[in-house]
Order: sequence, then C-alpha cells, then structure tokens
Amino acid sequence: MIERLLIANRGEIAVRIIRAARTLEMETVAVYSEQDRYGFHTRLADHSVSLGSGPAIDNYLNIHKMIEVAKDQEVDAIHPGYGFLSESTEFAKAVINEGFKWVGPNPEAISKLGDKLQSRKVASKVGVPITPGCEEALDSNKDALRIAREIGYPVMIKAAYGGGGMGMQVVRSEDNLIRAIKNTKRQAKAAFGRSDVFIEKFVEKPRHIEIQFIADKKGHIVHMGERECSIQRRNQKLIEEAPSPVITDEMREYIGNKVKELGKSVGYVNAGTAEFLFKDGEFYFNEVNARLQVEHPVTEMVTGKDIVIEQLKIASDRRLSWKQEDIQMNGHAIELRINAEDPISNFMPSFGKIKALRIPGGMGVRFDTHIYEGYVIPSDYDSLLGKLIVWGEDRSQVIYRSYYALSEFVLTGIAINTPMHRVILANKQFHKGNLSTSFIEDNNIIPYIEEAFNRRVAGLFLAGLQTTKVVLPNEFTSSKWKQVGKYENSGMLI
Amino acid sequence: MMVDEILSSSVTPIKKSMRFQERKPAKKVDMDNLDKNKLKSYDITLNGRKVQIFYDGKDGVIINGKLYRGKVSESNNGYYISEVIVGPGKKHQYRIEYHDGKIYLEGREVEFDFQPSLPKLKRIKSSKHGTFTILAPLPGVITEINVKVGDSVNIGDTLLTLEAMKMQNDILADYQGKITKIFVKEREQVISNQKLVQISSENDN
Repeated sequence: MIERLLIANRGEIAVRIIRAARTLEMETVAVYSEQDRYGFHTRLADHSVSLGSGPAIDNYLNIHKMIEVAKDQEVDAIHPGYGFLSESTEFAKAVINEGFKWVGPNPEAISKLGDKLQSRKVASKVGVPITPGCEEALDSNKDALRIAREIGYPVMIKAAYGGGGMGMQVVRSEDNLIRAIKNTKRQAKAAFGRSDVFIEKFVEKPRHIEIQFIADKKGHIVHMGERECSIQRRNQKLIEEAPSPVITDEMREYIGNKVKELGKSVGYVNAGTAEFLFKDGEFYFNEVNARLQVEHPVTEMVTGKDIVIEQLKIASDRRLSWKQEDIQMNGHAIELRINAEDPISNFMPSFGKIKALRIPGGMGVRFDTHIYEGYVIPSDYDSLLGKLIVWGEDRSQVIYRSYYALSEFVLTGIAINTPMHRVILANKQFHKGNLSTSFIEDNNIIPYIEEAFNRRVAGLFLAGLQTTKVVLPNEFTSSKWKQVGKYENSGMLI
Repeated sequence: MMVDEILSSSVTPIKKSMRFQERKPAKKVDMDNLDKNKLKSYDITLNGRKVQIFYDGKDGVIINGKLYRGKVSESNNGYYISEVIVGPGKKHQYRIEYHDGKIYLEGREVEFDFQPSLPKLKRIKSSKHGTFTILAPLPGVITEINVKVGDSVNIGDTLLTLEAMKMQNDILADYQGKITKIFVKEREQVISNQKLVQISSENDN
C-alpha cells in the first residue's frame, strides 16, 4: 500500500484526495504556489512544500519541480487530481520512470485513446456508438463536401487535437463549409500545434451523459453508471446529477458494458469517464476523460463507493474491491458547483476575501471545499469555490433538499453563482427533467436571476431607509450601514 | 386581483418560486411620467454585486429601468417584512432582520450597503505631463457647459452638465488647472468614455 502520497494539485480536489488518503492512513504531502500559501490543503496535509510563485507553468504545471519535490519528500506515489498535470502523459511517464506510483490511468492507454479521431476509431471498433462523421482527418475540400452531404447539415468541424470546448465550429449550410474548415485548421494549428480537423454530425441541443468506470491492473473493470451534466454555460458544467432522469436500467447496462469493452480494449487502468452526447434515445461518443472528474461525488453518493480511495488502492496494486453487481444505484444525487462568478454579469469572475461563511448541513448534504472564513480567493486559478453535493431518496426529494440546503448557504465578500442554482432548482422544466446543454438560454434563467436580485435590492433598500430613520436625501455621504450595530448597541435609533 | 398571503416562511417556497419564474417579467417604466427632480441615485452592493438605483423619495425604486414599489412593516418579533410590488397582484415578501451589525435576508446573512451615487468621473492622462482629459461617465446629452477655454478651475468646480437616464449629472473637475480644450458643445449627444474637457496643470504652462 502507498505510504506517503504527494498531491500534485490545489483547491477542493487536493482536500478531497487528502481526506481519502487519511482514511487509508497514508501520510500526505501537499504542494502550493506562493499565492496559495494559506490554502486549506496546505494545513490539512501532514507536510506541505512551496513550489514558488509565478504563473502555474512555474509551479503546478512544472513537471521537473514536481518530481524534485517527490524525491525530496520521499513519497512513493503521486495523485494529480484534475486539471493541471492530470492529463499530461509526459508527467505520468516521468512519475513512473522515476519509480513512483501513478494514481491515474497508464500512459499507454491514454495514448491509445490519443486524439479525438483516434478515440473515435477505437470506440467504433468495440461497438461504442459514435457520431456519424469521417474516419480520417480531412484531406481535400471535395471529400469534405461529399462527407458533409452524406451525414447531412448541420455538421461540426472539430480539431483532432482540440479540447476544452475549443477548436470546434458548427456549419449549417454548404456555403460556409470550406471557410469553416480553413478557420478551424488555422485555430487548431495556433492553439494545439496541429491542424488536423474532421467532420461530425452536429447534435442540436443534446444532453450530456457520461459513464464513470474504474479498472485495476489485473484486468478487472466496472462501470459505475451515468452522470448527467447537461446544465452548462459555454461548455462548462454547472449542475450534475446521477442517475440521469432519462436513462433506463437497460440503457445503463447497454452503454456501461460498451464502455467497459472500450476500457478493456486499450488496457485502461484506474478511474476514467466516457463522455457522450444523448439525443432522442441515441448515444454519441465524445471522448474519454482519463482522470478523476470534478463531478465524481454524485456517483459516490448514489453508489456509496469512494472513488478516490479505490484509485489509491488500485495504484497500490490492489485488486478492484467491487464486482459489477456490487455497484447499485441508490436514490438520486445532485452537485451544484459554487463558483466565484456573477451570472448576471456574463459570469464575470470575482476575487477577494470571504467575509462570512456558513455551510449547510443535514441528512444527505455534503460540501467539498477548500475555502474558509477569511480566505482570500487568488485571481490566478479557476473560480470553483466548492461543490454542494446532495443526496435524496429520489429526484424530487433531492431537488427540494438542494433548494433548501442552498437557502442556508451564506458566503459574503464576493459575488458567487448561487442565485443561479436557486433559480434552476425552482424551474419547472428542471423539475420535469427536460434538460439540454442549452437549458440556461432556453429557459431565460439569467434574466430571471436579475429580476429576483433587483426585487431583493428594492426590499432591502426600502427597509433600510425605514430602519435607521435617516432623512433622505443628501443627509449622509458615507455608508450608514456599517453603523447599524453601533446604533443597536447604544440603544439609539432602532 | 391576486394578493399573496401574509409571509409565513423565511424562504420563498419552491412551488411559489416556480410560479414567479413563469410570470412575465416586470415592464420597463416610462421615465417621462416620473418627477425627475425627486429621483435620487444610489450605489448599492448586495452580496458582492453592485447596482445603481433611483429612488423616488417615497416608495418606488427604479433598477435598470424597472419600477419596484415597496411597503415595509415591522412584525411583533422585531423582523421587518418588505413587500415588493412589481405589478398588479405581483407581490413578493422578504423577511429582513437587523442584529448585532448584521443584516439577514430570508434568514440568511447578506452583505448589503448603499450610498448616494457620487458623480463617477473618468479621466485619462495624456502623454504630456500634467494634462488630463475628462471622459463621459455614461451616455447622455450635454445640457450645459459652464467653462470656456482658458478658465482656471479648482477641484469640485462644475465643468458641464450631462443629462443621462433623465437625470442631470454635474460633471465636476477632479483636477486643478486650466481648461485647454473642450471637445463637446451644448445639446451634443455623447457616448460613454467620449472625451469632454481637457485640463492642464497651470504649473506646466
């Protein structure tokens, strides 16, 4: 078993991994950039080591430094978390070559899934349903026109080496096809270093369904059912749930088995997620995320299985703890990503000090986070502050429980996206399970958040005037609100 | 006319919130029908989000061109109930509590603050040392120009008046010096960040 684990990450996922490692009584070593000097993970870990200041490329993304720390600290394994170096085969290889255990998929499997075109081929070979499209990178304009005509418009031009929602363009008619290919090639060359592109059928307003799977080094693999992550904005997931309201037991078994075959065919080890688009009962394979995902807790809540603990056991050469029949879906879980961004202002990120923080509780309520009262959110990293994960006996119960859990949640000092979650959790279409990746636009969520915000501003303002009995206007130039407490304590005015 | 029941819950119940979402959004008000002289502008912060409002001095608050009327009552246990009306029969009730310097809305602590809007002056420093250009803080019409080229101005002097959102905004000098250029004329429509007046430090001349 691993004895001393380096966590090559920050934020809530570093905290999550440290918790799992502690449960297995492993010693933990955290790393941090100087901007994260007071990050929660640095205190939680048994040891923590500075990677210096500067942009992520100089610390969290610096393979050389990370390996040096691992040697120096005499750890025997490294968990990369998600983001940063988690999907770098170069890092995975370096970790393994230096004799450390790698808590993640084997680099060989990752390179077999390789780019988007190659993973399409591997997937279709084992019978995983893929989006209609071309088999090879586009060669000539003539081919492109022929293929697009065959599969029918709209089509999507995709960069073979793209990712993160970049290097994609929708084409709705033949007139724009050649120009779009040229554009995507140019963008792909600039962003990913290679200009290979291919054509796929564009699925309009799909649902996003993904299958969690996990495999050991001895050839055992299980799938852990699906997660639905259709509530997104600009390809970033905001709300995830398990199971999906539209996936039947038969569909789960069918697609789960296909994903297991895919994993086996490339000799996959450790946790991974196969992502699909889903429309009118059909799955369309998108890609495999060869790492732990942000939304893994919803699967943990409905299966009762700790995925990170299992990752650590598998990396320690243990046999998979579960057989397929041990994985049963019990109830329903929802994850709300709490981000430091203002949905009304086009999701503009906010930074600063967290003043008040009150985390909800109760049956089935879990909050995975690295923030605390007085924590200063650095501007250098992504805006995820934590994940409110809620379990219920069924979908209806978990929606109600989430709504009221969220109504207890207090975080002041910066603008966050909880008003959006509140509106979505009380949206009729959400209750009905009518989800798609364009849910937020289709249901006018953002204008309503603003309307609800304005009402509360008006209510607070008018109550404020009455409370302090200050004659308006122009009687004061600075804020009087800071004095509310003083008035109260001295028995005046209120 | 539908009137909601007296507030009995700290948080809007989920079904009620669902009904609210299905209502048509509040209409924009016709600002011409309002007594503009009585409107006063405030800068508000609620939970990290800033917004400018206009208050009619009585019970009306205009936010983003929409009118919210309110009635505040005090309950016997020290809470305040703010009833916000956005249209006929469209009432929303919020429970507000003040305790120990903190403000609670719907049972949750919130960060809420407001102060009268100060004229937001933007200026850019030109390449030449000691020269500043005052920019329009918001789009509007220049209704009055109080200075001419060559005038000396002190900090706080009114340079010109900009009518925006049916409000007269005095644009004040936040720099001491001599007016060296006026880029606009009276009745001219200006856009946000358009150059208005250039002031140069007299020491440099």
